[in-house]
Amino acid sequence: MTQSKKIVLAVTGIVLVSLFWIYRASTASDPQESLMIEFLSLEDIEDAGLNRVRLGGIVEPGSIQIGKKNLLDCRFTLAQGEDIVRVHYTQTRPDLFDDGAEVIVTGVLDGDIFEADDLQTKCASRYEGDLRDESSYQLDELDI
Amino acid sequence: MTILSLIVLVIIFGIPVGFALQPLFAPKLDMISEDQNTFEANERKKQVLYQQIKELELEYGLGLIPEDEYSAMRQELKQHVANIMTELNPKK
Amino acid sequence: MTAVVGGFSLNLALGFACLSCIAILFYEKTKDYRLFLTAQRLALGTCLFVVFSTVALSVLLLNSDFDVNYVAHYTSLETPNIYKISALWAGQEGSLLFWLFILSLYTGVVIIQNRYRHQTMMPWVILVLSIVQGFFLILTNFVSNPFAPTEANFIIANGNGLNPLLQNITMAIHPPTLYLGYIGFTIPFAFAIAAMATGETGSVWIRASRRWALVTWMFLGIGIILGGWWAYQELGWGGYWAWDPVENASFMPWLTGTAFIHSILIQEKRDMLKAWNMVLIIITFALVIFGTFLTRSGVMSSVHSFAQSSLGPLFLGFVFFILIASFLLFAKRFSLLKSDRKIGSITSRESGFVFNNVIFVILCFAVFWGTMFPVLTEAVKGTKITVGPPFFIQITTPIGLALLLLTGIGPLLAWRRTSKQSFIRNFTIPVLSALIFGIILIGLGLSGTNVMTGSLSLFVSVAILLEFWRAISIRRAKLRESIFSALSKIIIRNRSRYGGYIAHLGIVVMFIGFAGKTFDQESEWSMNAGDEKHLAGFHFRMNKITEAERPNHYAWIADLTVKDEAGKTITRLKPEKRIYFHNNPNPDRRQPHSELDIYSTIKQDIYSVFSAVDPDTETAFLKIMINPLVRLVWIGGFILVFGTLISLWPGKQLL
Repeated sequence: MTQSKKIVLAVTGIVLVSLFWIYRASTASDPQESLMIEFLSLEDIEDAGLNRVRLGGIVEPGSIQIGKKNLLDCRFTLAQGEDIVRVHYTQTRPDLFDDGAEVIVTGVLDGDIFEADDLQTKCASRYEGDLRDESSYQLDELDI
Repeated sequence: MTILSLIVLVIIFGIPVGFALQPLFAPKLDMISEDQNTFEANERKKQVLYQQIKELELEYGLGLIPEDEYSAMRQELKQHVANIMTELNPKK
Repeated sequence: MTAVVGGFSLNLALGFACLSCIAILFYEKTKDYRLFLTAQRLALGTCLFVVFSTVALSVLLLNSDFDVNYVAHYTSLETPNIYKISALWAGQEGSLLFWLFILSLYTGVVIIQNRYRHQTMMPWVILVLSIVQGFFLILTNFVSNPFAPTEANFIIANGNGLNPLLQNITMAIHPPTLYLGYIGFTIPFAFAIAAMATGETGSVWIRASRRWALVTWMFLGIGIILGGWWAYQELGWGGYWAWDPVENASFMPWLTGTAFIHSILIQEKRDMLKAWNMVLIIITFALVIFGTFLTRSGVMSSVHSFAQSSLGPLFLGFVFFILIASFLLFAKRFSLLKSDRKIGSITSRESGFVFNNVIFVILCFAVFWGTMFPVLTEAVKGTKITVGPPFFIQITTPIGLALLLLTGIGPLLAWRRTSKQSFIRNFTIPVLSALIFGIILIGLGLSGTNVMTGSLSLFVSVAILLEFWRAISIRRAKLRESIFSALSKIIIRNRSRYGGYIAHLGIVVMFIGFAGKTFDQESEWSMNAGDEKHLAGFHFRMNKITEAERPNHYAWIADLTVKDEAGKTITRLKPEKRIYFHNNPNPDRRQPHSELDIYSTIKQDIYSVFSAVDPDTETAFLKIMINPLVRLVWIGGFILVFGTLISLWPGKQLL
């Protein structure tokens, strides 16, 4: 066999093995073994079953409840249009987590409560809010 | 907008426009002299070849090039350098 | 007035870019040199007007001119000047203008640098650069205009301001360095297209654009590392890479760019892999535009992405245009790209580079697949899925280890063919060292990829150090120099080679840092003064919780003493919980922020986050993480950049 053919064979082998490896990681019949997480819309939340899924939406203003004794214990309502779900999260919350923040939560639906083990907020580079006119802002209080 | 700022703006924007379109109003031009280009290009090629010879010697010393290939490549590179030196010499 | 000037400059820039393209096309038809000169000057004029525009927007930002929508949304009267400047790239419109600005600077330098050189290729280089500039000018003029006026029925007294999380020096320089990298790939791409268009497919285009490629690659790497460093230092989740689609968007062109900068060495030295280099740079540049599409289209749910906008289809269309036009030209010129030389042996350095290239492209494909899989699944099956770190870690780990192996093997292979004696001489010590070290690691209780990483890291390190040692020995034998003198001389005389080896050592150090992630430990506690907690052999004692009122924020500070198992005090950590704009009467404007405190050593980082505070009970809620070997990631990154700078250090002007 010529050297060129050996190289072509070796390269083909590497490519095929790699593609197989990627394919195997991409497909798993058992959801518990799968490396993919289903991203559900809130209207399909009932389809989640016991599987770990991901949800996205807005934190409904006024819905955040922090535990009195455990300040890490947080419950809030995640809204996506008209659909809502109550989320329970007990770890450190990102700084940008607040009323109206856009969040992505990952976890399991337990009855009516979504038990989240991961919570992410959108990157701060999209920091937009209402502009302020003179009457809504106390300029004297600013130390400019 | 005052007249003065308008004049300043016309100048600031007008100069690049004039500069860009000026060649179109010039008489027919030849490309920059080949001699100048060729001389500099040959100087650069010479430096590239010197660097390649240095690397070749280093790699031979490190055992990364077989003896026969080293001799052949060195000879080839030296021939290239000689050709370029011949082209450069008339200028010196 | 400034906004009008800025907007008008953008209009003129677009006009000039279009005229430049037309002039080039007429020049190619008529070969009238005046047309080439005009095109060159029009292209320079495009760059100049873009600079005017950027300066205009910067002036508006610094002057807090809230009549301009962009200024009102991204700055306020309280924003420090340095962050008013960084607001230039904080939002969609400004970042597009900044893209143009960097591209224009690069274009201007390329044109001036080559005004008397490569006279057959430069018209095409200018054409390609003008087309790319033209695309972004269309966006900034008609779709996403940074000078658009604020639409409000009241006088804007103050703008939104920049989020405190972005008011951090790292975050200020991370986007520009990414852009300097990203956008720089336009230059070698332009030269590649020019080479194919003119039929000059030899090494001239490589030599003309090699430095650009390396500088670009370096900046992109710096940008990626800075982004990871900022995330680690500021965000409080203890990680530096989340495999987020936008992160992957910058990583993919870096991977193919790495393959490119290695592969062009083969074309320069052996006149081989010409077609492959063309494909690599086309794909790299297409990935640059694709990455910009991913960030701005809203097609991926990412914590980084901008809002869904109308830019997505335009960027996707431009990617297809680039790919179709480039590969049509590639097909037309394929006969000129075939090399007369063949690879002599599977055990040659040439084949090592081929395998290296293949694996980099596979790695890029793997990341691309994981990034786009959710979109493809939704299109085909209708189900939405997300792909997170476990997927990427599973598929990239073995590929990354294969790359690490090749990093060590490559330099030890000879050109054309490695003889048996060479194999034995070059490989014995590195292989034996790696095997022994692997056994030691297994004995220490490690397994799997950690053993592989450790062994391969030692293999590569020993291989590289032996290369240095052999070269030093040759010099010392000939010239009787000291070790340090010989070392400095071999580096100075062979900057490209030995700078590259130093960069490889940087990669090795980073890999060891990555491996430390498998040993991360964390815990979350509530603590009052006097409480003690334990994690990973460390003892944490809460001394007190204090409060401080500062000019632009209010802070609670947790004072922790950290001791080791023997009871010796290692450090004091003082993480803070801050509220910015705490005096603002509108509670919605108050911004909480956890200021981390990290005690960092080579062995591990002790990472503390002040999650929440109950002022009534004086209870602090803390997250503590023990992150082994993280520091090596940053040190390795520094070595990587240092090695690249050595490679780039100018010697005699070659081209």
